[in-house]
Amino acid sequence: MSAGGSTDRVGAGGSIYDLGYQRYGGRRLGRAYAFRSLYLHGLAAAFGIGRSTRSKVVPIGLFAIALVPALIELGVTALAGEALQPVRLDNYFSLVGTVMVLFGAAVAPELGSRDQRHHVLSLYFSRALERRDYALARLAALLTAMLAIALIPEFVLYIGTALIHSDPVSYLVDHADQPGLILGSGVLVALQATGVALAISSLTPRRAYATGGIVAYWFIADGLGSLIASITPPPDAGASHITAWTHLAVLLSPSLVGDGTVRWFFGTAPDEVLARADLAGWVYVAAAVVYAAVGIATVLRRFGRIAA
Amino acid sequence: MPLIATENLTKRYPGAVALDGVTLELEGGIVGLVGANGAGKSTLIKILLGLVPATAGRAIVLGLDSATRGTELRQRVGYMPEHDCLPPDVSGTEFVAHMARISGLPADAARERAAETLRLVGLYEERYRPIGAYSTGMQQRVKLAQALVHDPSLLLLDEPTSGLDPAGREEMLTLVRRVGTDFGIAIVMASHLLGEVERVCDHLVAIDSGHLVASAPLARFTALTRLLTVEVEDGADLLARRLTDAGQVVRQEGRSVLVDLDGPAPYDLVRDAVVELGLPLVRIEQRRHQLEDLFRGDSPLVGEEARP
Repeated sequence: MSAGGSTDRVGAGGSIYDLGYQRYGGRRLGRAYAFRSLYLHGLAAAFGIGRSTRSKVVPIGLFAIALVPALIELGVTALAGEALQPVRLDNYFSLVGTVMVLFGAAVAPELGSRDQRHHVLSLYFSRALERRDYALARLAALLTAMLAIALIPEFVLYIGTALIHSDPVSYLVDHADQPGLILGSGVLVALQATGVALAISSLTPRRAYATGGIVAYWFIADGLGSLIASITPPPDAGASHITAWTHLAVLLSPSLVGDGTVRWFFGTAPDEVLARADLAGWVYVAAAVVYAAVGIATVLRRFGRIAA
Repeated sequence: MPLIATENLTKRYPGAVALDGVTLELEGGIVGLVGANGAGKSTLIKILLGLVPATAGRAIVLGLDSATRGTELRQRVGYMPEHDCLPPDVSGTEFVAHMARISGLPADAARERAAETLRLVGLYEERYRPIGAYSTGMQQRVKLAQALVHDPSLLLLDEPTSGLDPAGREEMLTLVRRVGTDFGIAIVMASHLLGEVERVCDHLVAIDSGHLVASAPLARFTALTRLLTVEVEDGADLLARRLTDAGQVVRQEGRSVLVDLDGPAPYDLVRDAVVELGLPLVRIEQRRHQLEDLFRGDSPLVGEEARP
């Protein structure tokens, strides 16, 4: 039998046609296609698509939970006839930030740890894919999933509010700046959450460690930041007791940074905790950018060096 | 153009030298890469793939420098690692099709080739079940299939029979042989078992502690020696003395007498001596080199090709 040739073996049950080995003469797409394939595969894996029902429950459930405040607000507004606005675009992140963290804790290990655990990396790296491509495709997949959580509920709230409004067109015209603000703040908080979650996941092949690490880091940093800010006297209490430590504690908390970032975008006053830290709004934005950059750099570095 | 050419290839790890100045030229066919565990086989394969950078020297595979054109090169090479490298929670078809896409095959072709390749390596209905439920033998087949799915020009197999029972080992070797001969794909197969290499390969490369010991067609390692073995039930010492008296150079080895062969003359002398002494003759045979001689340093080829 030659390459691409065929033989037929005649068995008792009839003919079995063994077509032999077929050479592949079709198109071979390059690195960009490999990147796209890995990205789409990762995005599907993030939501458990193509996996068991069990692995869909957590990510899709969390996504649904992130939508709940928007739906409640819309329902109450529709019933009451006027917007009570306990849930607004500028405080949405402070309501669903925890959901984003949990989503990252559930999904990032799937993208950052799993291939290490099962030693699949050597199969990826022995293909037409650079190590950097792998890292970037994983980051892009998680970022897309995070963006879905950061943006979709807020757009639902924005568009829903407009539709309930007595004059939707004038509402949209009056609030024409909102989509840009949602997008800007959403991209930043999603980048921040993606960077932190995937960086932690990429450092361990163990899924449980990655999940635990993300949750622990997020809530410990958040707890410390809030605690230290809350024992700091308010800025109008006369003598300035706001030390560099307070600032540091607040900036080390990813959720306070995210909250401050969103409020800066929408130009609203900080809540009590952030008010005590008394930082300029742009500092939070800069901190969010630093979180994202450090996270991305960590992921690139880790997958650039890991043995495969 | 040779399939693989290396020049003074050296790989040093902190505190260890994995490869030490290996210069090698290989044509196609099935090449066995043999050496003890830790001899440098895996390192050599990883350098050929461009997965690991060499400390010094260079490797040209399929005409491409593995250090600078690794991405291009890896598109045309298939790699089967020694270690486990399969995720347990996806099916064989899904995984192989995914790997085909990462190798640049369009989605339709990837699905088709995945099914076809899995059938060729002997996985049928099982391919829809999660890989975690496969036996070691089936997992080894999936590992081979993912290396073969994009129809590479060269297949690098690192200990393909690792972890298999004797029957599985046989099947895997038959499969490797078939891929090399029927499919016309060049193969480099690393193994620490000489017997496996002897069964499957046409050409043999032996390395020991990072040094190239020998590289030559298999037949030359088992070529005839210039020694005649005469085995008798007993009286070997008598025979040896008689032949020495007749002017032959002989050496006794248990029940055998080894006679230096410089022409046809010793045959007649041996026949006459055996008849005159009335010895029970077992066999007269021109001795062959054993593959094992390689690592005892008695092979005629040791060092011959190692020098540039």
